[in-house]
Amino acid sequence: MSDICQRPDQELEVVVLYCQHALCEEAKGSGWSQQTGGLSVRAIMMPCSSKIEVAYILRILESGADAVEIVACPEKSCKFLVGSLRAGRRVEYIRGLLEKIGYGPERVGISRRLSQSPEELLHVARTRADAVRPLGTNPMKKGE
Amino acid sequence: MIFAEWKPLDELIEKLKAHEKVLLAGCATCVAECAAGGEKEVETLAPLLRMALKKQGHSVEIVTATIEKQCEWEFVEQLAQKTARVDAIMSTACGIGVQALAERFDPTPVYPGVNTSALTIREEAGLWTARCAACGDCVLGETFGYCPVARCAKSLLNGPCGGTRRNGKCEVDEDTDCIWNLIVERADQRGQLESLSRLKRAKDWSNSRHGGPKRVIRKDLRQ
Repeated sequence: MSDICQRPDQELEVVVLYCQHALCEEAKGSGWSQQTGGLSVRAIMMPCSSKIEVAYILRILESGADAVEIVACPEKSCKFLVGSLRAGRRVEYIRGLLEKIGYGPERVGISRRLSQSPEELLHVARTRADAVRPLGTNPMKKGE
Repeated sequence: MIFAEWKPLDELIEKLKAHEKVLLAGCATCVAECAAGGEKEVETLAPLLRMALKKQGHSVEIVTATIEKQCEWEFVEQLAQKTARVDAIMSTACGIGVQALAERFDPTPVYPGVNTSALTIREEAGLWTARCAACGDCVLGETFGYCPVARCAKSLLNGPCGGTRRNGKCEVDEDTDCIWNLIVERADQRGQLESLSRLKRAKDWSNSRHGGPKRVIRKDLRQ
C-alpha cells in the first residue's frame, strides 16, 4: 500500500477506465468515484477496453487528471478477442506521445485482470498514482 | 489515397506558440483514411498540443473543426465562421487543403499539421504502401498492373536491378517486394514474358512534376 495519505499537499487524481468484464459480478456498475487519503479516484466502466480511444485518454489528462489507468481483461480472456490487445497498443502509442511533449509516459498505464473488486481497482489506482508522483501534479490542473 | 503523417510535435508547437487562438482544421477524406488528419486525429492532436503549449507556458486556445474535404471550395466555406475568430489555422489536410485554406482565409496564416508524402493503398490495419507516383504517363498497361515508378526504389522502367534479394524482396528494404520481381512473375504466369524484352520508347516525364506546375482545362466542363 502506498503512503499517499502522507502527502495531502499533493492530492493526485487518477481515472480508472475498466472493462466491464474485468470486474467481479457483484461490483459491476457504470462507475464510481472515491476520495481517500490524498488520492481521488474516478472509475468508469467501459463495454470493452478496446473502446477506449487515444483521444479519450488525452482529454481526461487535458481536463486535469494526473493519471489514467486502463484495466483490461487478460489478452486471452478478452470477450471481443482482440480488445485487450488493441487497448495495450493504444496505451503504448499514448505513452510515446506523452513522452514527446514532456508529460511523462507514466501518466497512462494498463493492467490486465479479471474479476476485480472495487478495492482492487483502488489499489491499481494507488499504484498508478505512485508511478506519477515523481512527475508532480498535471500542469493542466486548474490553478496550475 | 493521399497519404500524410503528423509533423513532429515540436515543429507544430513552434508554429503555434506565438498565437492566441488557433483553428485546428481536419479533412475527413484521404488524411482520415490514413489516420493522420481526420476528425479522430484532430481530436487527438488538439488536447496534445494544448497540453504541450500549456506546459511550455504558452496560452494558446485551440478550437477544432473537421470538414468533408479541404480540396473543394464548397466545403472549405464551412470553416468561414470559425476562422473569423482565430488568428491562425493549422490544417491536417494534404498540401492541397492547406493551400485552399491559405487562399480562402488570407491573411490568416495557415500552417500544415502533416507532411504529405505519397499516394497509397491501405494494405491492412496500420500498413499503407505507395501505389502511384502521379507521374503523368501511366505504364501499368505494360507492367502487368504493378507500378515500377512508385514501387521500385529506383523507379526503374527496365528492372529488375541487381539488388533483388533471393526471396524477391528489395535490397533497400527487406519487407518491400521487388516490384520488378513481381512484374516478371506475373508476365511469366500469363505466358507473356517476351513482352518485357521489347524495346520501349523513352518515358515522357513532361506530364509529371518535371513539366512544371500543372494546369488542366476541360472545355466541356467549363462554364
